[in-house]
Amino acid sequence: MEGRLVFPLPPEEPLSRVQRWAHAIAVLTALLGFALGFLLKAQIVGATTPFRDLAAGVLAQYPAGWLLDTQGDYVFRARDPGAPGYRTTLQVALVPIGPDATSRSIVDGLTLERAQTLAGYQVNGTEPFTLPDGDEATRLEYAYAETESNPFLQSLPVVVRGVDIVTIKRGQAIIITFRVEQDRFEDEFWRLEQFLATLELL
Amino acid sequence: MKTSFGGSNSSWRRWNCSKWMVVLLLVGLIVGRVDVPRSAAAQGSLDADNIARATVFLAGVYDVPGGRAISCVGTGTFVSSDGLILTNAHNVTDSVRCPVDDIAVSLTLRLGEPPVPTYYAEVVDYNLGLDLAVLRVAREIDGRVIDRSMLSLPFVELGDSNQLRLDDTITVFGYPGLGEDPVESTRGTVVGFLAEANVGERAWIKTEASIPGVMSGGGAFDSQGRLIGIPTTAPAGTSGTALDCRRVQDTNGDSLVDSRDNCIPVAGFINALRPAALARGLVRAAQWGIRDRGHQFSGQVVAPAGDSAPTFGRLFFSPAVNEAGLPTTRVTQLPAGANSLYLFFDFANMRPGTVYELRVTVNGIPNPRFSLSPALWSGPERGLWYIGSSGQPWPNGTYEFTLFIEGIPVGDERITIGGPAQATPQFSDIAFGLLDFRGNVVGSGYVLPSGNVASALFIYRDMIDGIPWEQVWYYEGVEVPNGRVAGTWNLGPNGSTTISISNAQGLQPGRYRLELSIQGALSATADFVIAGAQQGAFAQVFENLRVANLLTDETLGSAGSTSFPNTITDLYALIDWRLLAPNTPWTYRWLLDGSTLFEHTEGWVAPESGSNFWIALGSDLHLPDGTYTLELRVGDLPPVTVSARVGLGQLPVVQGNTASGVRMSGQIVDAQTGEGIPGALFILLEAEFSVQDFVWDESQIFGVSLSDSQGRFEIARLLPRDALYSVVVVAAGYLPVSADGIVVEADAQEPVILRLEMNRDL
Amino acid sequence: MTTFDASLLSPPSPREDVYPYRRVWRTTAYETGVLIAGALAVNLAGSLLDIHLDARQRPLVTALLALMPLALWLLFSYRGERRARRPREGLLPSIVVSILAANAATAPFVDEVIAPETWLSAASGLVRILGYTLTVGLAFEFSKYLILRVMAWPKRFERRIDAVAYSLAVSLAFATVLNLRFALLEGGGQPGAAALRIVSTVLVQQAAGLVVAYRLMVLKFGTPRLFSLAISLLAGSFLIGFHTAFRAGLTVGSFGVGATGNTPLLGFGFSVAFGVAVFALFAFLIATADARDVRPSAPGRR
Repeated sequence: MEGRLVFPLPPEEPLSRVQRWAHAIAVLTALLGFALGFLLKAQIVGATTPFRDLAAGVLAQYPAGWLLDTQGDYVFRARDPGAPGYRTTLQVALVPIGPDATSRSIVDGLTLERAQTLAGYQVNGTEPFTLPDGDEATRLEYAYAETESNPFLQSLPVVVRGVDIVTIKRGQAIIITFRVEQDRFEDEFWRLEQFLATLELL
Repeated sequence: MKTSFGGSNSSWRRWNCSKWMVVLLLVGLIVGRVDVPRSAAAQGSLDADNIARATVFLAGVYDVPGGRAISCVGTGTFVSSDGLILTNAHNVTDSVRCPVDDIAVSLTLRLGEPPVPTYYAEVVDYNLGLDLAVLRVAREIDGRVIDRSMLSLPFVELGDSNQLRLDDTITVFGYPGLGEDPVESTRGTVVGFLAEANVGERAWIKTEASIPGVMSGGGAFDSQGRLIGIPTTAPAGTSGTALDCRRVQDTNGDSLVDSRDNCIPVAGFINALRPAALARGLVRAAQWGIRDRGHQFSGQVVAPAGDSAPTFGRLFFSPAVNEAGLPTTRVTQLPAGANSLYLFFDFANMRPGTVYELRVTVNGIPNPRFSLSPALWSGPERGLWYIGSSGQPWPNGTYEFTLFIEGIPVGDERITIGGPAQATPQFSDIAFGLLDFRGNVVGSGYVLPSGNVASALFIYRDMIDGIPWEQVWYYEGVEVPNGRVAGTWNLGPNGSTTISISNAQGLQPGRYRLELSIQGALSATADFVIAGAQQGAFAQVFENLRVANLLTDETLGSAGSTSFPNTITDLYALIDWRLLAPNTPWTYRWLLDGSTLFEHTEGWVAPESGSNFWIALGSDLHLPDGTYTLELRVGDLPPVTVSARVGLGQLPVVQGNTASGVRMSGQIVDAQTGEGIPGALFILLEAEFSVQDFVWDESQIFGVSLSDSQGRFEIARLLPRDALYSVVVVAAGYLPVSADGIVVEADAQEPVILRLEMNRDL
Repeated sequence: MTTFDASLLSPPSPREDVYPYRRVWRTTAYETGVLIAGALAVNLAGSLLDIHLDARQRPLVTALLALMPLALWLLFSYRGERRARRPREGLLPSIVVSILAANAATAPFVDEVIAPETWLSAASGLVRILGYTLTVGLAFEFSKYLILRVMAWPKRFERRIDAVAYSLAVSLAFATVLNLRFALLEGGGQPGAAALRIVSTVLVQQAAGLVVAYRLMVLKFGTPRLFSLAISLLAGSFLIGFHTAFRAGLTVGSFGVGATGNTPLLGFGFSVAFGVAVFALFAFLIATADARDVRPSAPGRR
C-alpha cells in the first residue's frame, strides 16, 4: 500500500447569498415547525369532549378520550384510561342536603365517610375557594392509598392525591372531585383548572 | 392379495399405501378436525377452579390481651358476586366454646396455595336449627368498610337438591386444616337421604365421601358445578366424643402457648349434608336484604315449662309417615326387601342448638348410611319427632337405633328386617275428625275445632275376634279421665272403625294423643290438636289477617292494606286467633313472589285467644318490590294466608348475577422485555359493540381490569358463552392494542386466557 | 525489416486512476447487511433457545447490542477510511460531537419536553405522522443538520459522496445514543426484540439523515435554491414521522386466544425496506449527479 497522503482542506470560500439565506430559512422553518408541533401537542393533550346533563344542571368539558361513566351515584365520572397506576379522575356528584348544611359541613361529612372506606385517608387542607363563575365553595385536599379491589390480583397500593370542591346550589351539594396519582399531581392539576373553567352549573 | 408381480410390486404397493395414508391424513387435517378427547374433568361442567376460588375459609376471631385470637374455624362458599357466604350457623354464631367478635374470611387467591385473610364478614341471618347461616363481606381485612357494589367475587349458584338421586356423584370442597392447607375437594356419591320431622324426606343427604370436620359449612356440588348440599356436623366437642383441639396462639397473654390457652376445636368426619333447598330462602332473603323480624304481641308471653333437661322417649318404628308427619302404624319387624323405615320418638325440653345424634348398627356393626352424625336440633321444644328414610333398600339384619343428646345415650330401640311378611293383627292410619250425621269422620285429619267430641277413624288388618285390645287417650301427655278403654275385638279381621272421646264441658284446646294397643303392645298411635272455632268440619284458628307497615294504634285497629310503596322498611302481618293452646305447634312462612323466604315451626307462646299478634319482616334499607305472602298453619289445616304488594308487586330483574359463564384473564407484557406491564387497562366491551363502536363510554363496557404488578388482569364477571367480544388495551407509553372477535364458544368450559404483548413507539 | 512485438498483440490496458477515497456505499452495504443478518440471527436464536434475561442482564446485553452498529462502522467504514489514500478526517470528531449533542440535548428534549408517549402513542394514524414529523423528527433532523453544518459543511464536502459519509456517521451516532438510552435508561429488552429495534433505529436515522445531507450537498455542488434546505429538513423529519407511525402499525397486530398480537418481524421488514429504498434512491441521485459532472453538458444547458 502506498503511503497516505495528507491533503489539507481547501480554503473556506465565503458563502453565497443564496446559501446563507437557505440556512437561515432552514433554521426558521425548524423553529416554526417546532411551534406547530407543540401547538398540535397542546391541542391533542387539551382536547375535550362536552358533557351535558340538563336534568342535573351540569354542563362541562372533560378530557377527550377519557372513560365516561354515568351509572354510579354521581352525575358523571371521567377517568384517564392511559394514566399509569391510578386513573386520573374527574367527577361531579350531587348530594341532597338539609337547609342548615354548609359546604364545610359537607366536607366534614365526606371526610368521615371516606375515612371508613379509603385506606390511609388523611386530609391535607381545607380552605375557602371561589369557582371561576364566582360561586363560593370549599376546597378539600386529601390523600389516601388506592388498593386493588380484586383480591385475586396483586398490586401495590398507589398514593393518590385528591381535591374536592364543594359548593351548594339550589338546595343540593355539588361535589367536584379530582384525583390523581401523587407523583403526577402537579403535572395534571391543570386538568382540574381546565375543567372548572368549562363547568356550568345551571 | 395375490400379485402377478415380483418384489418390485410389493415395494410399489408399500409406497402406494404410504402415499395414500399420507394423502388421507392430510385430507383429514385440512377438511376435518381431529377431536382430541378431553379429560373427564373437562368434559363435565364442574368448574373446579371457580369453585375453589369461591370456597372460603372462615375463622371466628375474638379479642384477647394483646390482639386477636381464633376461636373456631370452618368453611363457607360465596353464593353471590357481592360477597354473600353460605356456611353453617355454628361456625359463625357466638357461643361459650366459640366466642366470635368478628369473622375473618380467607380466600384462595392462588390455586394450590393456602387461603389468605382478605375480608371480615357479618352475619346476615341464620337458622340455628338447620345449622345454616348467610354472611356478607363487610370490611376489608384492614377494617375499611367495603363498597359492595365494587365487589365482583367468584361465586356458585344453588342447585336443586331435590333433583339429586342415589349414586349421583358429588364433589365436596373445603379447607381440611386450620388455614395452612389449600382448598381440597373430595369426591363421593349419594348413598342415601334421611328424613326428619318438620323438614321432610330430604332433611339430610348422606354420602360415603370422607369429609374432614373442618370442611363443615363448605359446599357439595353436583356434576354441573351447582351447590346442592352443605356438609354439616355439630360443633366439635359438643357430642361428648373426644375433642381434637389445636392450640396455636397465646390467647391469655402469658407469652406461652400451653394448656391454659384456648384451643381451636376440630371435629371428626362428616358424612351428612344439609340440602341446598333448605338454604335457598335464607340466601334469597339475604340477597334482597330482607330479615325475619320475628313475631310479638301485646300481652304476656306464656312462660316455657322450665329449664328441665332435654329428653327423648317412647321410641318405636313405623314403615311410613303420613302427610301430617305421623306414623302410619307401629312395627317391630319388617319383611325382607323393606325400603322404608322411620324411628319415632317423643321429645321434650329441646332447644335450638341442642346437639342430638342417632347411631344405627346392623348386626352390631355401625352403619353410617342410616345414622345421623351429631347435629343441632331444629324442632320445637316438645312433640313427636321422626328420623328415617324411604326409597332406598334396608338390608336384612337386626338394627339397633340409639339416640344421644349432647353425647349421652337417652334411648334405644331394635327392629329386625328380613324374612317373609307376617300377617299379624295390626291397627294403622289413624285419622281424626268430627262425626257427621251419617257417622263418617270428617275434618282435616289432625286438627279439630273445639267441641265436645273428637273421633278417630282407623284401619285394622288381620285382626282376630276375641283378642284383647285397648285405646288410650291423652291430653298434653296426661291420660284423660276415662280415656283408657279396653275390650275384646269383635269387628272381624279387616276393615275400619271409629272411636271417640267426649267431654260434656267441651274438650280443651291443646294436644291430644291416641294410642291403640293389641294384646298389650302398642300397634298404632297418632297425635291431634284441638284448636280454633268450628267452621263446618274444620277449625278456624286465625282470623282477621291484615298487613300494615307500621305498628300504631291506628294500624292495629284498621283493616290494613294490600299495597304499599317501595319506600317502606317493614311489613307487619296482624292476626287474631282463637282457642290455640300454648305450646301447640304452629308454622308461619313468608314468601316473596311465591318463593319461600323464611319458615318457622314453634310452640304457641301467646294466650289461648287474642288479637293483634304480629309477624314481621323488614329490611335495613327498604323492602324490594314484590308480592309478600304470609302463610300460617296449625297441623294439617289448610294454611291461611295474607298478601300485600310492595311497589310494582314483582321483584326487579337483576342481570349479571349468574355463576354460569367463562372467566377471562391473562397477562399484558412488554413485547421487548417480556415483563408484565403494571397499570395497563384491559377493557372488554359488551358483546354488541365492536372496537369501532367504542366511544369510551363505560356503558359499553362489559368488564374492565387494571393489570397488577406482574401485568396480570382478570375480568371479575363471568362471560356469557356463545358470544364474540371485543377488547381494547391501553397502557401509558405503549401503543394501544385492540381486537374484535374474541370467541367464547357455546360449550366453552376452560377460562379464556390471553397473553398480550404491547409495544412502545420507537 | 519488420519485427514482431508480442506485447502489442493485446491492446494496452487503459490507465486507471487509483480511487483515493473509501467506497462509502460499499462499506455501508457491508455494515447494513451484517446488521440486518445479525439482528435476524439474534432474533431467531432468542426464539429458538427461549432466551429470557432478567432485569439485571437486559441492560447490559442490550447495551452491547446497541454498540454493535458503531463497532461495525469502525470496522468497515472507519478502517476503510484509515486505509484510503484520502481519508475523511472529520468523521470521528463528527461522531463524537453527535453523540454528545444527542445525549445532552436532543434525546432529553425529545423525552422530557416533547414526551411523545404521553400524547402520540394513542393518537390516530395521520395525527401520529404529523405529530412525530413536527416534533421528534424535526428535533433529530435539525440536530443533525446543525452538526453537519458546523462540523462538515461546506469545507469537508469535497465530493458529493462526502455528504453521505458524514451524514451516515452523524446519524449513526444519534441512533447509537438512542439505543444506549433504550438499554440503560429504559432497561433494554430481550436480545431478539432489542436487536430488531436497534437495527431499525439505525436504519431510519441514517435514511432520514441522507435527505438533509443530500440537500447540503446540492447547496454546495449544485444549484442552490432558497427554500430547498428547509423543505429537505421537513422531508427528513417526515421520513422519521412516517416510519415511526407506519412501523408501529405493522408491529401491532390483532390478538386473540393463542396469538399475542405482536408482529415485530413485519415491522422490522418495513424498516429494512424503508432504509434500503432510501439508500438506493440517494445512491442513484448522487451517482447520476456525478455522472453529469463527468459528461459535459450540452450547450445551453447547465
